[in-house]
Amino acid sequence: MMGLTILIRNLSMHIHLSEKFINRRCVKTSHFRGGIVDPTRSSQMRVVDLIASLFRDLKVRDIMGVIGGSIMPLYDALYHHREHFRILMFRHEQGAVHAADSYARVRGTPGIVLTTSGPGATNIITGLTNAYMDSSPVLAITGQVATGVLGRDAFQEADMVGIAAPVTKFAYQVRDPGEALPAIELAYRISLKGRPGPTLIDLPRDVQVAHPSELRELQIDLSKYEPLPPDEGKLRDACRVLIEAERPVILVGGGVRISGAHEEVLALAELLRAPIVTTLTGKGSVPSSHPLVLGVVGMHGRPEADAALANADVILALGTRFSDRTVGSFEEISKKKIIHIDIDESELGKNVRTHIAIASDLKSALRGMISLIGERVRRDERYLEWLMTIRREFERAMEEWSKSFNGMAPWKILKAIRRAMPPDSIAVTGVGSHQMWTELHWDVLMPGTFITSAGLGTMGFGIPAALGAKAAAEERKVVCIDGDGSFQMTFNNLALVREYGLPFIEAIFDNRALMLVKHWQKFLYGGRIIATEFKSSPDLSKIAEAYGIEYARPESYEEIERKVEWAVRNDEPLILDLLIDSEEDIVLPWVQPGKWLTEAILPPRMEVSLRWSE
Amino acid sequence: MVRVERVLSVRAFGGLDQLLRVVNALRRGRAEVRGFEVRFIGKEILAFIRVDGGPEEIKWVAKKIYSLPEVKSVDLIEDKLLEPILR
Repeated sequence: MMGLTILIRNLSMHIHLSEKFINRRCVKTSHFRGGIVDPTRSSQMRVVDLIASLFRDLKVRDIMGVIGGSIMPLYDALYHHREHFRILMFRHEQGAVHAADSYARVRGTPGIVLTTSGPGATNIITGLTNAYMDSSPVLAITGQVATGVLGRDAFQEADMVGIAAPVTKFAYQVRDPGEALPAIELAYRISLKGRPGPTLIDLPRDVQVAHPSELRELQIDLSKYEPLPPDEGKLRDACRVLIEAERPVILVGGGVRISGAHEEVLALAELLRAPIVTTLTGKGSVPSSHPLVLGVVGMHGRPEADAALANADVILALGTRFSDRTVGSFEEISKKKIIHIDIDESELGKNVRTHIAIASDLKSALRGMISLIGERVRRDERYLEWLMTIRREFERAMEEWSKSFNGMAPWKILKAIRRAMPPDSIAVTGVGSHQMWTELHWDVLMPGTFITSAGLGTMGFGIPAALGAKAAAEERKVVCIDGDGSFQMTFNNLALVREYGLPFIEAIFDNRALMLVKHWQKFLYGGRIIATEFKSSPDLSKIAEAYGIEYARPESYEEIERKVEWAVRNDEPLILDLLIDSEEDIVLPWVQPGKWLTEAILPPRMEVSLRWSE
Repeated sequence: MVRVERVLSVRAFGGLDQLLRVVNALRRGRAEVRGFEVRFIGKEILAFIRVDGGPEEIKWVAKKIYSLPEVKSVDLIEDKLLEPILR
């Protein structure tokens, strides 16, 4: 019934919006808010003017992109509303779309990207794929050549719907001007509905400047994305299985953050006395400080988390797709009793066979389970104590390793930065060994404050994502834990730091290599090192100077902390050049591809078994 | 492994562009496509897709196609019922 009410409300809103625009089109220009059309020239609004008005109604604040010939009319329409929007002019479209992705993850509303046709549009494909893999709502509007020359290889023509179709939740080329506004409003809503994801509207240049005589809705019904109430019988079964389990574990994915269900997860874990492990995106879903949160599981997972998943008899998996990076061996994980809850029904049974599959919004399903379980389950605490022993042994071994580490140890650098940052700071990462160290050792103190490229693993994500996060929450501090490889892919976007006042701390783990790949070459490719070492690296101090950003190359953890505190206190941007020994920078623990979690290679002098034995 | 042959009856909004998205979902599944017939009626697509594979895999492909916003319905049909149509 609740779903029906929401549906009716949403439909009413949609009809209301559409009627409003039809009315606006019909009334005299003096009635238009903002007076965007010259009354002496036209009594009708162009498609682009309607879009600008829609953005205002949707309370869009920031728009990211790069202008070009085929999107000029839309930017021109925004000119008339420039007091309402901030246009963040990125130096490459990839930067704009990563920023929009991150912006959306922080604000919970779609990040808007506008690019021109051809290369401007194709440059966002990596970012759209990234957003698709990590379920992030992004609305991209790409300019397109005029409909009259579509398909004739016109200048800067690219088949964007064809290219973007497999990596977007929705992609549509508007050829009928009457469809333009409804299509964009629909794409905005689709990006948020159910499991979020990126959408793309391809807008030919002549359509942008047309004056539609009427608006035509696309016959797409989104009611199927309204979350159904969870099946109560299945919830009861799930609770029974979890209560009867000897060693249950809760596997938290990114869906928990999207659903805003972290409190329910913690409450359920406390009732069940079940440890919580997370995927990489799930790391940002629950606070690391909770005693039952053991950390990230998988290829570079924490040993206590790997042990908890490997030795579990029942897994309650929440909002996760069972990535190969998380589970290691599908054969082994399939031996467990798996209860899987996800809003996207097509995720259930995709990678693992489930014992109980529940298609539902997590928050309502978890609330149902909490009320069904009622009181705390009595459980033998020895298993949890054993997991805590592994945690302590891991911390001890890492501390010991840091003493013999040549130079500063990456994990201790992270602790130093964390100490200097406020609890609500947003941490963003690039992709590589620094990301894996962050996965292992960065403490997420508040849910929703960790942003990384998990599914696609996009190097270069960090800097634009940090800009997007800062644009979304200017009152908060942002740190980007980056690698020198990732940094060199998108640092051109540092120009936005001073231009728009978006300061953040760029902490570069500078090992002069594509370290995670070099790691594999060392251990899986017979030590044959090829194409992973930078023989020549840019002078980061000069890059910092070029963009007007403070630079430091600290030589101690205390110095790192002091520099970060300075940047936080003054809300100033800072580039930290953190030299890491390229030979020692081996991220451990490490589960080799296809191996089971108990076979993790542990840090030096950490001698524990990850197999539970009573 | 048990293999079955089924027909996916797909109703969707749009034209060739939207059909492309259905095909993309299909391409990435593990069911093998044995036949494909499509009709375009105004802005509505009617597709009959004959697939062969494990029953669970076919169900998953159906769910994946249904998850596309433009898809209105996906029905799994025992192939014998549709033989006359597909011929």
